[in-house]
This record gives sequence, structure tokens and C-alpha cells, in this order.
Amino acid sequence: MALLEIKDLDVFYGKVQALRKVSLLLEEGECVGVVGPVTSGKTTLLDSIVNLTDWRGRIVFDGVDLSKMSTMDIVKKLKISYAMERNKIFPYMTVRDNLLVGAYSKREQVNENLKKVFELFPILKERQNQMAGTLSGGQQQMLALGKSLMLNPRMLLLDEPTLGLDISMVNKISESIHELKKMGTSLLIAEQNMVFTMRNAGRLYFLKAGEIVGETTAEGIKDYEEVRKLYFGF
Amino acid sequence: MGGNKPVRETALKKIALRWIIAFAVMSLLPFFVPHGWLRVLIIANFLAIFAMSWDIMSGYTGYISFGHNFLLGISAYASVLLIHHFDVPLYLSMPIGVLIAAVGGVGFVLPTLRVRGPYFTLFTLGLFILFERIMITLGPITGGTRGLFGFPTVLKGAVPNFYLTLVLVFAVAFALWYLGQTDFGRVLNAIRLDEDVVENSGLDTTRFKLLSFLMSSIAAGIGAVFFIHYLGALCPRSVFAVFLLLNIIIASVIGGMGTIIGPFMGAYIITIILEGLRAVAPGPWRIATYAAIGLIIFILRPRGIFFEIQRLFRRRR
Amino acid sequence: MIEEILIVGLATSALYLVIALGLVMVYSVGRVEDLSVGAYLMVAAYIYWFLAEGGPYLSLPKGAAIIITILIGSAISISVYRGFIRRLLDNPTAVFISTLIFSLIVENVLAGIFGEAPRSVHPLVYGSVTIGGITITLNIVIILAIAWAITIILITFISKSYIGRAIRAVSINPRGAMLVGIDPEKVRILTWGLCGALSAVAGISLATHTSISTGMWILPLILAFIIVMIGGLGSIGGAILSAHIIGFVGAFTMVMIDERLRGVFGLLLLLVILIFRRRGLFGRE
Repeated sequence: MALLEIKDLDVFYGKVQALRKVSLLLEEGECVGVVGPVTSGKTTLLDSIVNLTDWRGRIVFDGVDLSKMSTMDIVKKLKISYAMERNKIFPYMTVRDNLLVGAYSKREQVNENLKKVFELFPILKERQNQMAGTLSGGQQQMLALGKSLMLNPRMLLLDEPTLGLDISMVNKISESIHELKKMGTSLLIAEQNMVFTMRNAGRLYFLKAGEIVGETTAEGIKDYEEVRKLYFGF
Repeated sequence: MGGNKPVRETALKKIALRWIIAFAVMSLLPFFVPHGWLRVLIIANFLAIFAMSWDIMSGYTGYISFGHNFLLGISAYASVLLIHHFDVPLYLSMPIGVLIAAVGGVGFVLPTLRVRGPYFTLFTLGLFILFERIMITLGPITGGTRGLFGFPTVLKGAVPNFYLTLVLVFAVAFALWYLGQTDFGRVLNAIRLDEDVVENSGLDTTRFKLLSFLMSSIAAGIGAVFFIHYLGALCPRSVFAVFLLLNIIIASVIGGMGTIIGPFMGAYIITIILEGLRAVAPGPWRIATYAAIGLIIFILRPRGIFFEIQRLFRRRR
Repeated sequence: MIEEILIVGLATSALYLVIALGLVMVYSVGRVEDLSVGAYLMVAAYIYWFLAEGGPYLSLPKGAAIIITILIGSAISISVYRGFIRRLLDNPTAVFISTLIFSLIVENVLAGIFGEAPRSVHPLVYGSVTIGGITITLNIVIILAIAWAITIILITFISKSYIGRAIRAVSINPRGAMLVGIDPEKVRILTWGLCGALSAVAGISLATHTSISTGMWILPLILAFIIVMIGGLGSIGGAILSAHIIGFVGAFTMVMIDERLRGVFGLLLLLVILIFRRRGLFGRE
């Protein structure tokens, strides 16, 4: 059975339908990418998994129906962590406090986890007493990842992790995703950045105007021609 | 707009008729109610003027003022002090009092150029408390906490005073209500909803706030000088009591903020509640019960009674 | 002269700081001003007096009376929050007005139960000490010490504990807080409870320092409100500084000019500061 199963997900904002019959599977330990242009509904999809939207359909995580669960319980009990694209950190708190807030729902092994995050992102250790809002965009993205890791998540949702980052930062984020995969964390990445997602994800879904318009197999993702066809339609 | 003008005219005629009927009904009251009740209604009329003048400022623009007593106070003190120390005749001191209130109202606009929300409210509350303290401290001039008395009243007797306040309250109500129906009122409403949007659409919000506050303070000033020359005695408690401020606000919010008619009705409703409770709940329990009723109405029906009445009538049609 | 200003200034600043901290905290997690803090304070003062000195049958030891009072204080503030503030969180104006009306209710209920005449309350401790040539009551020293102890504990709690960090997280971004598993509603309830407890401490201190009366909610409320506004909404450091500005300006006025003008210069200062810095001294723009 898949770790995450989404079936026929519909989301409306007022009268506008943001997602239409979206279905998606994610196996334990898998890294899945959802790619699509801006406003295709990627963020809405991730928001729905943690119950931040008013959705209809079926979302099951590890056999648990998420429709009745609060956002807090989904984070706390199911260990699903979500690094949002906007407001992903708490700007008026120090880097260290941001990480410790990330550990709010998992207060065992805090020191080990802190050490692990600092090993992964040495820059965060250097700046741990600095206000998070003063970090650069790339450093904030690292902090957001680090904050999610403090939970020891079973599944990590990443919304546009490379948005606005330069190439060296993108590589750094790729490295940390690699580390996460090694630790057995399942990942769902929503991205516009095709190349980045192809390199990191095991499978891809293509989202366009709120609908899944195509998907690749584990082999298919390596075929640039096929992916291009699915993404651009030519 | 040109096409539906006749419709608007008949609507206006209908509304004018309602105003006349309301005025006529209320002017018959002295023939039916005992004199003791007339004095209560006179106070209700003053409260209605205060509440409506608060409404055109705070209800319409959303700048919640806790400093209405400041406007009432400066005009009342101005008129009484002029009479007391300089023997200025009543017909001169009262307009000067209103003028002073207008100046104070313009003073309220200055902070709104920079501060909004709670900061504005605190600013007005600060002015109110500040002025109260100053009036108490300047004992030799203002009579301190005991105040001043023995100055002339406008009219004597319950019936004449009732008609005087009735004319006043209807004049103020109609003027402010009419103002609220014009484009001016609509801009004020827009300022309440989102001042930045109004500003970005090219309207100078300061001018609108200035006019709104000016109208508010003139109405408040008129109410205050007639009020104080009805009482014939002035002490800090009669104009600076926090209870008066709360009455003004409760009348406005349970009647319906931003409607003028609502606060008018609200003033009468709270007067009736307060008088009705006199027999049931003695002393402080009366005020406590009244405030609790006000709070419950406000929490359950935050848009006010006038809005609910309108909705009821619309549903029937 | 100067010593007196110093002691009175320090003590009143600390007292008002305690109330202001409650206001700062509820504003930061709820984005509304709870004008009932004066009422919480007053209820606590009366309950303490009633428990400790309420007659032959009710004269609990002071320590027990204090603890029960603080618990009741938090229970009242939480009930007010759950009762109606929560429904009005998206409308700060309505919270403003409703909490002010609530204060009026409390004032008159207390007047109905205990009468309108002010009552004197015994000090927490008797005796006096002489510092630098002037004699001050031990009660003021104790109040000063308690207020500062509370302030320091609170700041440590906010900056070092998980719950403190949760409070800050909710104040910055409730949605982000939910995503690390923090329930913003629980945090708000807790913060309102803390605010009630802080107001209760201030109420007991004020009662034992002066006396209790049904009008005692207004001045502390206004001063705390001014402190919060000058300091910048939601800034604890700003509140500490502005509490001392207001406290010392008040003490100076009281000792050097005229007791009746106590609040005046603080208010003038507020008006001036608001004109030049519209978010107070430390507010985030």
C-alpha cells in the first residue's frame, strides 16, 4: 500500500476550482515531483494534504484518513512536515529558535537533530543567534529545510524549494535532499524548475490548470524527450 | 444615474414622509406621557445627538473615538466659562462653544494623518482624560471637581425643553443622515473598509475625514451646549464621565454603527432599558444589567438593531 | 526629593509594567487589545481582599489568598476570551468596544456586591525601611521585587521554553505555527490566562499599596495601554522602557508639581510620541 494516496481531490476557492480530480500516489521512501507552471495548483495540493484548504475527495496517509484531522495533528501524529514557499520561517526569531520551534512536536533527541541540521548546513550553525529575517534567500530556504528536519518527518512537503535561488544554492539544496532520501524520508516536491526536479525526484506528475495532465514512470523520468513532451506538450 | 432619477425622487418623498411621521408622532408624546417621563426623554434626545455625532465620525470612517467627551467638554466648558467670567450673553457663548468643539474636531484629524486603529483611539482617549485632569486642576477658574452652577438655562419647564430637544435631535439626525446618503457618506464608508484603496484611487481621504470630524464635532458641540444650559450646572462628571462615553458607544453599536438612525434608536432603547430596570434592579445592579444586555446584543447582532429591522422589512416584501 | 521620585517611580513603573506585559502578550497572539485588563485587575483586588480580610469566617492566610486570587484571575480572563473575544478576533474594533462594556459590567457588579465606597486593604507586610535617608514601606519594596521577579521569569519563559517559543511563533505567523504542530487557539487561551494572572498580581499589589474601589480599573488600564502603545504593540523591551518613562514622569509630577496632575504628562508624552512615531518607539512597521 502506498504511503500517501490522494484520490479525486477537488478544491474550490469560492467559485473558482483550483484542483480538479487530482489523484497521486507516493510510496514509502520515494521522492515524487509535482511540476507545473505558476497557478497550476501546486501549492493548493500541498496545502490540502495538511488540511489548510477546504477539500473534497480522499487523502490517506499510512492508512489514516486525513479528512477529519487538524493541521496540528497531521504534523504532530503523522510526522508530515511542510516547508511553505512563503512565510517558511519566523523572521523575528533567531535561527536557533526557529529550529527549536520546529522541534515543538518532537522534543526527544533535540540535540542530536540540531547537530544533524548544523552538519548539513554549517552556515546555520555560524548564524544561529542571528534573526532569521536577516538571512539571505538561500539561507532561509536551508533554515526552512532544517526546521522541517527537527521533526524527523516521515514525509516532507517542499513548495518551490529553488525559487529565487542561484545555481550554487540550488546545488546545495539538491545535496540536502539527497541526504534526506538517504535517511529514508519520503518527499513530495512541488516545483516549476524542471531540471532540478528531474534530477532529484524518482517520478513526476504534471499539473496544469488544476488537473494532472500526465505522469512519468521511474524509467521515464530519465528520458528528457518524453518529459519535455509531457511538460510542454511538444 | 439620469434614467432612474424619478425612482429616486419617489423614494426620497417616501423617506421624507417617514421623517415627518416620526417627528409628528414624537411631538405628540407630551400629551400622553407624565412629566417625569418627559425629563427622561429629554436626556434620551441629548444622548441621541451625542451618539449620532459619534456615529458620523467613528461609525462611518471606522476611526473609533473614545474622546467624544473631549468635544462635549470643551464646548460646554467654553460656553459656561465665558458666561461665568466674562458675562458673555447666552446667545453668543453657545455658538462660541460649538465653534470650540469644531476646532477640537479638526484637532482629531491631525493624528489620523499618521495613526490609525487603536493608536487613534488611544490618542482621543488621551485627550479626553488629559482635558478632564486639567479642568479639575484649574479649580479657581473651573470650580474643580465641584464645578460651576447658577448660570442661565435656555428654557424652563419640561414641555418646552422637550420640544426644543426634539427639534434639535431631528435637525441633527436629518442633517447627518442626509450626509450619510450622499457620495460623501459612501466615501467615508469606503475609508472604513480600506483607507489605502480610497487613497490610491485618487481621493484625498484627509479632506473627507476633516469634513466628517467637523460635522461630528459641530453636532456634538450643539448637543453639549444645549445640554449644559438645560442642566444649568457643570461639573467634570456631567461631561467627562466614562459612563457617558460608554452610553454613547453602546447606543451607537446596538442601534447600528454607520447608520445615524441606528444610534438615534439606540439612544432611546438604552434609555428605556435603563428606566425600565430602575424598578427591578437597584443601584449598580441596574447599570450592570443594562451593560450586560448591551454587550449581549452587540455580540449576537454586531450590525445593530436598525440593520435587523431593515432585514425584517425586506423579507416581508 | 530625588530619592522619593526614584522609589515611587521604580515601584509604579514595575506595577504598570506587569499589567502592560499581559496586554502586550495578548495583542501579539490575538492582534486585538483586551481592554478588560483593568477589570481583571479590579476583580482580583476585590477577591483578594474578600479572601484575606472578608470577615470573621474568611480570613485565609495571605499566601493562600494570593494563589486563589491569581487562579480566579486567569479563569476570568480565559472565560472572557472564550466567551466573546474569540468570536470577534477578526474585528479588533468590536473587541475594543465589547471589552470596555465588559469592564463597565464588572465595575457595577462589584459595586452591587461590595458597595461603592472604597475599602482599605492591609499591606502584604508591615514595617518600613530607610534607604538613603528616606523611609519607605516594606510593602513597596516587596511589590517592586515581585514585579521584577515576574518580569524576569516571564521574559525567560518567553525566550527559552517551548511554550514561550510557541507564543512567539503564533504572534509572527499563526499558519506557520500550525505547520510545526502548534495549536494557535491553545496558545491564545494560555496567553489570556497568563494575562489574567499578571493583572491579578498587579491588582493585589495595588490593593495592598493603596486601597480598592470600583473605579480602580480605569487609570491602570489607561496607563498600561499607553505603555504598550508608546513601547510599540507587541514589544516587551519597548514596554519595559516605556513603563519606566511613564512611571518616572508620573512620580516626578506627583512629587514636584501636583498630585492631581499625575497622569497628565504621561498623556502629553504619548500624544507627542504618537505624532512623531506612529508605531510607538519599538513597533514593527
